[in-house]
Amino acid sequence: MRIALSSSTERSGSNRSKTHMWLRNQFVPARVQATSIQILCVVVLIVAGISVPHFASMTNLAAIIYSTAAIGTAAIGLAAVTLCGELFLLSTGATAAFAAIVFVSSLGAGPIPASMAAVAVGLISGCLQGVAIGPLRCNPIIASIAAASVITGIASLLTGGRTIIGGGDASWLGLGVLFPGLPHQGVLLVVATLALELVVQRSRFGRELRLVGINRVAARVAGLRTRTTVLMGCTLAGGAAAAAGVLIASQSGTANLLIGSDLNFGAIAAVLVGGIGIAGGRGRISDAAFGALFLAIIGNLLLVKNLPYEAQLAVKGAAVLLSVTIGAFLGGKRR
Amino acid sequence: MKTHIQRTLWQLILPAALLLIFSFASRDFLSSGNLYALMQAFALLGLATLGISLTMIAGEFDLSVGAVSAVAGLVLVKTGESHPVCGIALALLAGLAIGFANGALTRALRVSSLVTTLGSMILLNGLAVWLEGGQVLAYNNFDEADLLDQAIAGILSVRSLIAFGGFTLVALMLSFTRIGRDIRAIGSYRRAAEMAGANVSVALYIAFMLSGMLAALTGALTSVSLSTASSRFGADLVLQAATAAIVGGVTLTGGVGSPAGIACGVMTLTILNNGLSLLGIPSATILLLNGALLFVVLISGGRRLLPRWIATTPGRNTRT
Amino acid sequence: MLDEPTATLSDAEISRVFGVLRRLRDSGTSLVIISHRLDEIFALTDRVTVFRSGQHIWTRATQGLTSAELVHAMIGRDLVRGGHVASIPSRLAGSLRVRTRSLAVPDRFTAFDLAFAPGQIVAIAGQLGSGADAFVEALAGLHPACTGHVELDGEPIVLNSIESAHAVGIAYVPEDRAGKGVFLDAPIGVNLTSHILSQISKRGWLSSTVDRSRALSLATEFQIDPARLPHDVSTLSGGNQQKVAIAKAAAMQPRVLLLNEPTRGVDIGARAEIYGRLQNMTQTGMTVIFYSTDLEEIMEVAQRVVTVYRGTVVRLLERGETSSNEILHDILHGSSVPEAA
Repeated sequence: MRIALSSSTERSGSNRSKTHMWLRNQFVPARVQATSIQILCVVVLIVAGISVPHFASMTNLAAIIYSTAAIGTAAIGLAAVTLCGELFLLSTGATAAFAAIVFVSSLGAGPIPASMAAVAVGLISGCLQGVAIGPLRCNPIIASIAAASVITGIASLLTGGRTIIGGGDASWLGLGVLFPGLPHQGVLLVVATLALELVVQRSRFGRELRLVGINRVAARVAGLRTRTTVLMGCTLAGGAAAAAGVLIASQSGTANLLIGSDLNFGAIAAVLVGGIGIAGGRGRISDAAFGALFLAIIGNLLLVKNLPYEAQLAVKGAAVLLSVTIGAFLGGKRR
Repeated sequence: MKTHIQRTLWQLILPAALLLIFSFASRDFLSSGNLYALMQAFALLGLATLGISLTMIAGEFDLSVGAVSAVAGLVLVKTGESHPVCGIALALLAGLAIGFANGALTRALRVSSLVTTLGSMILLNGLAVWLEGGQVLAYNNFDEADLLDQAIAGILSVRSLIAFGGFTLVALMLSFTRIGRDIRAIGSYRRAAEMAGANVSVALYIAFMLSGMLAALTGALTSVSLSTASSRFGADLVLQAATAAIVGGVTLTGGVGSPAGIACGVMTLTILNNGLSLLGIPSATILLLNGALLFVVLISGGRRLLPRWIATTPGRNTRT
Repeated sequence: MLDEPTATLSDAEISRVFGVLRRLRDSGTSLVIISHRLDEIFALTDRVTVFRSGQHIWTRATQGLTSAELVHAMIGRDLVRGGHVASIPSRLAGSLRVRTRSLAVPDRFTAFDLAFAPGQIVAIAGQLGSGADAFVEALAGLHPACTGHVELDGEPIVLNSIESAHAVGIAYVPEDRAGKGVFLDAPIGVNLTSHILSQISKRGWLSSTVDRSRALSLATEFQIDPARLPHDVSTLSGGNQQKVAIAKAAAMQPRVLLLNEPTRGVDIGARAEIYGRLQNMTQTGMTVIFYSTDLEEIMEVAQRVVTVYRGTVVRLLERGETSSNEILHDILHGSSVPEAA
């Protein structure tokens, strides 16, 4: 083994090559989509800020952040399900609505206990679905469709279809800003994303999650706890969906069954557009957050240009299909 | 090894039992008016379930059936007021085209149809909202509604006869044509089917196109009867069709399912929902029970079909 | 064209298949059958073509061909003993690592009574469908339906899942490395430590230093270029992928290492490295049990060979007492009496 005597030129040379390596790593086939979306976010923000009137106003930027916060929170949890190879849960919207109702109903006890109650409900919902999907190997999409129907039904029974008005104050959560243009919700999303990213990249659970997504059979051979891992992933997704519902409800202090009707498609689109592979195992939690940001920016642009709601849906659907196509192309069409 | 007839007889037990229970629980259940309503509901759900089952038998899944039915209804209402036949034809054509697109995407991208039909479902949702244009659309061709819905022999109608016709045709196709056998084969074990000479692409396209067309037919019939169309129609269709299909013996892993069984499954769900509604149970609760039923059926099927990992599974995403 | 048409069939089914094949032949269809089964070849065919190591050996009429000639053509000369076998370290001799009594898997094999010592390399030889591979799989915990008793170092163990096998120190390398043996789209370093996550993590958090150092030491042991550790396994050749598959199982430092076709599709160079590694690992007392259909490999590495035919053990052969002819004969015919020429 050579002992490297580093002179100052050698040291700076190796530093330069490290950044060079890092840059190259951002564009390997597995990361190119995620990196592109991140770059696009910055580019579109700048271009739109310059060329579209009122885009760069504090109110509009805050609107983008509110939109990102809800979908992003749901998306980073859903990403855990996608990463472990279980595609998606279609119960995100239903869980969010139910959690929102729980949150608003218990708001009298204070925003923090109410949030905790709501997230707990979401965790339970995710856990029950996780039991079916993980240990019992049920199809995740069908199971979550079934669960969504049950959750919505229970919520409907509890509320009678009415809007619940909360008896407390959640304005810190719903309307508070760190400074004009940066709502608290945005900060919370960043914190949540960092925390979850840390867990997935550095914890044993995160490693198992990824390996199960890459090849479930090989994971069994390696003795990994595949069933528990999938169960945990689904539980996380449920909790995240609930948190999203809380964020939405806190803005108005009210909740009804319609909350989160955008979340199902929005979260899935965010996960896919952000560059997380549908086959599982590829991508990072932060990718989902960036995907949510990108879609929020695009959606905001469409709104500012006075394009109708269906254009947003069309964009989301097209984004899903486009991401899947690109992913298939990059991944060499591995089924 | 149960014969086909024996299996169908077993599958008839559940709907028959439900029929019995509800006829005791509610005086009106066996009235001709209610039975007519039952058959009407059976026809709609039956057509959609038939379509989605074809994709399931082929080892895929069509999530977009609800959205297709909404779009078809909207197409009919917007184009067919004065030319009803034209309107229906266009609606069916739309269904066929969407099915073709679904098949093409699934085949070309070589990803699970769950993902491609999810994408098309979102797109179609947007299309439906656009077609609706924010208004409540009215379809004022009441003659057509009369034609389709007038009671025949007290409990049937042209609509239910169309449904019966659909079931018969699909049954004949699955049992007697090459395409039908290919559809089953590619669902059972795709690689082996390919090597045995099955035309995988054609079978996939046919399955998805039929699913699209049948979903479109469902939407068209609904809109004619209700004299309106909405982007929110068909929201529960996937749930109910999937439940009916699985209860009717169609497996998510593919290759298994028969129109007779599917009819039994649809009958079960229709009787259940009709009976519950007659007893005054609110529709949200009925949907809750549908979801719970699907959950139960999934779980009980799932354990039996737990893949032993040493067996080579044909495709990662064909699973329970 | 048929490829091993009767590999997994029962006797009754085999005779039905023979009937169908004969009818096809009589109606004018030409049949090409790939097979190792001598009785099948002699019963059905008119001409035999022998291939070995990618070379065409000869084509002759079946009439007048003797099984001895056929077997000789299939395996060539007896191989010179390879240099990969060492004797069992003396301190370990005399104790039993694995002992099975009446181990059986329904429909695969019945009543295996076997015992293996620590530090021994054992080959289980048998054709596809003979149950030999199922025996190895059963020890790995892949056949929860298996019946009988297994003892590990004198203690009875239950093998109803991979977890239960892992828990007692049994590691398994499956036959399909791309599909089951490695994580193709994960870095090599991640693969290497995938079986020992509990060892590289503390209270649920991975320790990147331990992760890296274990991966590095495994890579050095198995002659995998350490500079490639961050790259995906899919960038490696088949032989190197197999090394990764074996290394990650060996990382567990198991008492028993099970392998299913250890060097299928692996080039000569990597094979030699793998054999050398397996040899070294037994010095610490690890027992290696592998299933293989490659006679050269069996002759080169195994100290003991268990031959299996149609679900039952034919013989136990010790190194030095056997030739590949005998092994082949056992797995093709099953009887322990050599057939008269």
